[in-house]
Amino acid sequence: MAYFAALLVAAIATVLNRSLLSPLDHSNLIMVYLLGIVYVASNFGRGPSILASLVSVACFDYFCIPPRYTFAVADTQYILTFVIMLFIALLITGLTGEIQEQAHLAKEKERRTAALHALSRELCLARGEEEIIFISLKHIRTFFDATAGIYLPDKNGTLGEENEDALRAFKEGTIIKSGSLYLPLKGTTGILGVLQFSPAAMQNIDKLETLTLLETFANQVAMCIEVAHLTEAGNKANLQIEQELLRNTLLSSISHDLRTPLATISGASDTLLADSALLDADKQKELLQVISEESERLNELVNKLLDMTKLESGLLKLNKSWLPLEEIIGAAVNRMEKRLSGHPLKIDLPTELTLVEIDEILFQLVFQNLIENAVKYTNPDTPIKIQAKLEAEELIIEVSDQGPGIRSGDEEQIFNKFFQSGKSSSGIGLGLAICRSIISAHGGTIKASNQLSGGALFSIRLPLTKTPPQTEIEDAHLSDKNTSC
Amino acid sequence: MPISLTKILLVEDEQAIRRFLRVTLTANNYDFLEATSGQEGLALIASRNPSLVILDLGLPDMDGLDFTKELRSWSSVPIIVLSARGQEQDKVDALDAGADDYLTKPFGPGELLARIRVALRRAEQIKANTTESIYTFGSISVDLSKRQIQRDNEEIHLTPIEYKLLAFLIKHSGKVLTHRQLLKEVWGQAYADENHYLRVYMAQLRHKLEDEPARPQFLITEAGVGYRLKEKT
Repeated sequence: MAYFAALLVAAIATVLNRSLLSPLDHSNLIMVYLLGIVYVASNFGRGPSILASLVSVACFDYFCIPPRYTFAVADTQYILTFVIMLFIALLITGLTGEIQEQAHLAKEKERRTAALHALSRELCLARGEEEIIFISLKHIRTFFDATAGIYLPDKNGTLGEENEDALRAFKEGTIIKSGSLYLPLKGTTGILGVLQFSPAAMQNIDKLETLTLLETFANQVAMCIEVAHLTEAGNKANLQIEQELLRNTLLSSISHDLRTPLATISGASDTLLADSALLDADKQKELLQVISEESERLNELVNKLLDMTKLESGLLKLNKSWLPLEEIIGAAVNRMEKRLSGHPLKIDLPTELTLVEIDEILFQLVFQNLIENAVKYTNPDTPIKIQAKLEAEELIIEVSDQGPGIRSGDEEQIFNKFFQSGKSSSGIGLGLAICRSIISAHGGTIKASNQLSGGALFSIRLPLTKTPPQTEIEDAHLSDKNTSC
Repeated sequence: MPISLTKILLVEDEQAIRRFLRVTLTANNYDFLEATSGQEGLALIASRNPSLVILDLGLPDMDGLDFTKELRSWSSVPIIVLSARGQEQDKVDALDAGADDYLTKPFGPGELLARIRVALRRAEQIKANTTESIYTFGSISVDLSKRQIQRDNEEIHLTPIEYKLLAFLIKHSGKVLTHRQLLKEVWGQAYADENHYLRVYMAQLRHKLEDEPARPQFLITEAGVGYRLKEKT
């Protein structure tokens, strides 16, 4: 096609020269041929241009130089003209070809640079190994028009692949070529994996630039995977440090809180066993009382720790059901009845029965902890109040007391594990942390503040998103039935 | 003449608890038997015929549900279940299968003795088939033969379902009744999972019978398990 075009251009030049331009001087006619050759050279490349050069010289001789329609020439100096004309034509061909090749190379280079740039820009944003691989493969596939895959070793550093070529590339760190191309992904610490590459047109593999570019791609990917590994390792280390810290706090806190009652119990019981003859009935009773109280305290500490562990383990599944708020408060108060000792309790709930969808056992725990907290920090005769009100899409439950209130600045901290406000020694600092865990698991919030009149106020907000189920209510009354029979 | 003591069997694998209960129960004039595994327990019940069984839910050889089912297939001896925290479902399963009551560890001897007395008395009543026709709690008196309820001599109106619920609780007063048991008895098998019916009716009953419904003295909620009508003490 290109060669046909070359012939066509030479033919057009000849026709032009013979018709329109025939009055002109021969040297000008040569220029027309050369113009044609420049056109062919710049558009169709070296081969067609050489053909056009030869044909042009031949046509010039045959059609334009007397005697016409024969290759013989009257004036021998035209031989020189032909030679120079051919020389110039071939020179043009060569130069134009070179310029064009360079332009082509420059364009190709730009395309590759752009591809690399696009790859690295997207890789910068990638998080984790999986995303890096996904992005890399996408770029390689579209840029090279090839299928590609990446083999990665497992945790133990072995490549569990059946593919022997990939294994070889991984072990030896060299490019393996067999059917597909296997490029090792080289990181600073070793081979991170293998890139498998099979282009749609296999011969492209052999081009040196393709291979170099592919290697650059592979290096880029390897670098990113290495960074991802390092980041992951760093995160893990941080998490471990955090867990370690928590464990230490837990241990120091527990060992103190558990040991105190244990020391009392074992001390008191040993005294009773060894010296019962020396102790009068009252003293014996007192020691027994201490043992009983401390056991109760120990039991509570252990229960709280278990609750907290369960809540934090992530294994906890909410067992929600619809129940009246009144009932769950009642159940909690009932369990705390003995501990309320002297505290008047005021419960103020909406007159209409409010059904809420909550986990019964966990919510009972919330109210128990809040009541216990109030009892612990206030004087025995001061009242404790529980009230609830319904707002548009929220249920607000408040537990308040008339004690000293919360120390300013502690309003958030008191919900932290093992935080104890002030001097209290009878707890472990888990009650409110447990409350917050449970309420958040229900999608609600709990906040602490002080009332204007003094005393702490704990306020729970629960979203009311679902409508409670309907209960068919019978209309007949027992007494009516009775009177009728 | 030797007095025949009431026999109580404890099925428990932990030695400390067995020791504690042996002392407590023999001191309170019960004839104390003990077994360390479920199989041994079942064999002892068959051979010694105790009046009451205390069953630990954490036995090494069988769970409480299997034990209760097996025992209930040939005996109606009252069972009190001992459970630890975290065994809520096992506890409810055992109660649904026919256990009579439960106690959560750790428990005091006072609590245990009270539960034992309630369970023994109920078994006695069932055997003699005598139920008093008038039952009272607080200021409420229920005449079961006339289906009349009075508070301080003033009549209270209950709906048929409310009455059925109350009567069932009275029949088993002192014993914990699971949600499932109550729903099946009062509403029927088809309602066994419609917990909110029970909740709503229980609230209605409390509003009619309790002085302070949010702080009930008699119609007690056992969270996650069911309800109990508190025995007069």
